[in-house]
Amino acid sequence: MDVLLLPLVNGLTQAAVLFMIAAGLTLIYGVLGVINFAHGSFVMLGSYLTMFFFVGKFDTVLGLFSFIFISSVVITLLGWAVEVLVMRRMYKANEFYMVLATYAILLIIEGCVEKYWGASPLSLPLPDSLNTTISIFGISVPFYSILICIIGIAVMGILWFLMNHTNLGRIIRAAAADKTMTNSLGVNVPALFTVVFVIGIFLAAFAGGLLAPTVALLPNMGVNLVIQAFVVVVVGGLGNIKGALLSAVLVGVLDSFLGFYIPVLTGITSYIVMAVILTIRPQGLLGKVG
Amino acid sequence: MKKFGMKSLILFFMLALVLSGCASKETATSKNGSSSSKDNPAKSKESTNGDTIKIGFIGALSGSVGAVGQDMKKGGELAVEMINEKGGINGKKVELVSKDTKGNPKDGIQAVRDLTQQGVKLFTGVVSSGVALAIPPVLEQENAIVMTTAAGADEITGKNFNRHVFRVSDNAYMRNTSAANLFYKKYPNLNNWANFSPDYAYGHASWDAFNNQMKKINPKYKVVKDSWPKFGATDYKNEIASILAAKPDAVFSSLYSADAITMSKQAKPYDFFKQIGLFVLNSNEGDISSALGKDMHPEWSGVHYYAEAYDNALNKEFVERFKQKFGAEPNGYNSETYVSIFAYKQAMEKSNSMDTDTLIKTLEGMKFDSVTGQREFRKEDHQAIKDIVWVKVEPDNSDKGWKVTEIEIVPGAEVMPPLN
Amino acid sequence: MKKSSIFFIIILLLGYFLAPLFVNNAFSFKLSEIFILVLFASSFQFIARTAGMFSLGHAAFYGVGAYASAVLVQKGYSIFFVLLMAGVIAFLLSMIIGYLSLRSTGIYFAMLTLSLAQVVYLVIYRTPALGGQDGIPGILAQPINLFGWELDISRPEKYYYVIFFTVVVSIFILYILTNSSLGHFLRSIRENSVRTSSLGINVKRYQILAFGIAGFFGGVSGALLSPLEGIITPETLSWTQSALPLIIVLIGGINSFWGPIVGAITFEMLYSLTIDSGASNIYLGIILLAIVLLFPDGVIGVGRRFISMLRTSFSKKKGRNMEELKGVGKHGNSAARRSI
Repeated sequence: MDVLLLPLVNGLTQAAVLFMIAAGLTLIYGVLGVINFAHGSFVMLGSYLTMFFFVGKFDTVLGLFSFIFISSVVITLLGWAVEVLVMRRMYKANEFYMVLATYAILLIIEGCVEKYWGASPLSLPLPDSLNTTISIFGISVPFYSILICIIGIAVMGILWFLMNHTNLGRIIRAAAADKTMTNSLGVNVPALFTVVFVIGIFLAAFAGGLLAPTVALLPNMGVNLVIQAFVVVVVGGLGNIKGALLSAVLVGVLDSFLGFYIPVLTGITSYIVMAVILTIRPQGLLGKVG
Repeated sequence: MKKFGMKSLILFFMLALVLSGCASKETATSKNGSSSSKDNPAKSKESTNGDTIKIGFIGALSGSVGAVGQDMKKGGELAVEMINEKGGINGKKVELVSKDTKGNPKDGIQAVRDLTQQGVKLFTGVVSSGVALAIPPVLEQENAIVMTTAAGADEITGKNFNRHVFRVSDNAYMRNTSAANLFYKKYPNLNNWANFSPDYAYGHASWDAFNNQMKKINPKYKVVKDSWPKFGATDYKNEIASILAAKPDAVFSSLYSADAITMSKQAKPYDFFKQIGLFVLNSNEGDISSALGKDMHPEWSGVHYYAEAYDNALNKEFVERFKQKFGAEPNGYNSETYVSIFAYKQAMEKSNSMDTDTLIKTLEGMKFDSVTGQREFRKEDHQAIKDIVWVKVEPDNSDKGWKVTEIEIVPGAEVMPPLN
Repeated sequence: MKKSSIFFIIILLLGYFLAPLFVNNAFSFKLSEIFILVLFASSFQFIARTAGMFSLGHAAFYGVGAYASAVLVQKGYSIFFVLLMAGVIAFLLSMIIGYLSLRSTGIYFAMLTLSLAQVVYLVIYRTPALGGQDGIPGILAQPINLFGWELDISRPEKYYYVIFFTVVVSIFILYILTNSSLGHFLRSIRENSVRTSSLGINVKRYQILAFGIAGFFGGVSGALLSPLEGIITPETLSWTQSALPLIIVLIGGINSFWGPIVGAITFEMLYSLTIDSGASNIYLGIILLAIVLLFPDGVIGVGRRFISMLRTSFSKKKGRNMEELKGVGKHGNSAARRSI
């Protein structure tokens, strides 16, 4: 039993974090048409800021989560500034100029974090009350992993509600489907773009904060995450949140299982999944043709 | 383009050629200025032939192992300062010029080339084994010497031996063979071992040395689980759980830096370190313990050097001066570069020469005193015969979160790699 | 090309040819690295500019070429044979990657090349025979024999000539290809692939061929690298390395054939100037941002604008005015957007 359940839970935890990062990426791509290479650096910043606020202060669960939230808000403001100062000037440019612009932002954020916090790995202790395991079907699973899964599901629910039952969600979906149409309907497009970008950044920073107590913090920690999230986004179909969810679970769980049984495949799995799926369905699992 | 571009292009190329020529010289001199010892900035432009001896420090000063390189450089700076206070070497002032390699072989080679152009013939530092393996051909061409102070790959003084390369610190074979000897002696009842090492060259070299030695000395030795997570992995939970399922008495690990931290954090909820009797991490100069702080787990760490392990005059002076200059206790990255500069000093004074060939011959087989007692460069492979230090780290309630409770020293002569 | 331009190119080449006699070894080494980057970026530019295919996995060919040359050089083969073989191996690999990636277009194409290159990277990283993470050290080129004249190319100031010769010839071939009927087809495919295919041209075959050619020269540039540095590590294939040609091309100017050359020189100069600052990434980021926001035509575009500004001010007496200057600027900008 445990040989099945254990990689499953780990895979789902990974999927929850990947989904939060990928959802923002795919949302931003769907509406703004931007592949945001800097997304990972906002995740990284989320981890560092949470550590910066949290270390040595209220060493409690409530403290941890409120600081994750506060740092996400601070980073969202930064994301807003980036959107207004850089991205907004780029929307008409070729998408590879935008890739370069976001790559430049990544370099700057990473460089600044390295200047300020140094290059050596840092660590944020998890409050003791969270540092336990609970028993599911006789095997012990870290409580914090379960918590991340639950939060992942909650974020998914909120996003679903936002997209399907609010005005903003309808506009976002309309804009993703047909930009010129939305424009002619009198929607304030720049404001919409800002809102979408900022939502994406918030999700990234929040994922970073959640991740912080479980890994060593490094200035370049976001890079690998964002590459994985790209895989998720592309496999799911660019601009499709449901697709991102499906492929986050697929990639996360497969990576965990294959890594468990065939260790030599750890890390490659997701690329193989991507290559296979895209050769069969070039537009991704739930992507539109064209 | 075709209308008016070509001439401007040519102009650009000419300009670029001239400019980058100036640029490489400019960085060179500005580097001199910034890293020369404060009392002789005016002399910084003079070459080795004048009255300064330039020693080149190359190492990753930024990037993922940048912190290690910066620690190493501090040791070098202190050594140079102390030597100059006492009149330098053979009456000449010493100067440390440094260049960042970012841990890339490419930048390492460029650094050696740039510095040799400024008259540097003696190098110290080098964090990554990749750089250490990349630079020997350049050293040969430029007739220079490097003394590596942290790179641990066995090949550097083994398969890829080059007479221009010396290693003042230990290597993977020495450190992990000493681990097998020490922990079999200390814990003869722990026979079921698990391996938890990163899947790359240093990880494999470490485990091979440990595993082979254990097989040799302990008839009851058994490997119950062999785990090879990816280097730089961010999720170790699957491995942690499967190691626990195998119920080992002890776990050997060569996870490095950030990887060790991530693993420790993810192992904690499983009570990993309480369930196993002994955890051995072969490379932790206190950096991992300090990053983890209150989260630090109990372990035996392998180190280059530990300040309280030695009670000799040289060490006392080093610790005192280091604390004065940098306000912290020195670690093994600080000490090795510090030692290497004094080794150069002794060789230059002994031969009263600056000639590379003479210095190589002098260094071969040279015995020298260091903060960890006497060392010797083995003539055949240029590997220093030096002590291996192991410290037992345990969590406590202090602000730091951990303390060293036991120190063990294994003499280097017992664990030297066989010559072939 | 005008006669005077050819004359200038010859002067320039002569200058670079004689450079090692006047500069020190460290500088020859730097020049060699620049030349390699020039070819690497030019091979990328060939598909990016001519065919409109933006690959984010170009480092795979560079790296595979480098590994191929490392292995072959150590087996004792002559350097020019090694370069050719490395190019062919990279060509075959890039045909495969091209075949798989060209099922999609635009950003999907880019992401597919990125992930396939990542697979190549991880495979090399995990092949013990190729040295794993530590790579292959100790690569020294064999002496070559040119008409009875022995040349020891294990030293960088001699090896420089191998690089110089190979890169100049390769760039020349790329120049010819860009202006050949193949280049013509590729441009028409870029502009309108539907129309082109309705003319009876097999669009995909040409695209794959172009991708293969870019892979070939990418492989050759990588193959030049390993004997120069003497060591090759998997980092040569990492995805940041794939971003490098894109960065260089944009710094130089994406709309000019000479963009990669100007870009590589500028990039290397910036890199050498900032490496010891400990903040080279911040500087690089700021410069990139400035380029994409303010100077989308790169250094060449800036140069052109500057020159036309000088011309306008000189020729004011002849009745020209500033209107024309604005026209040039605008034209340059819109061309940048249109052509990619």
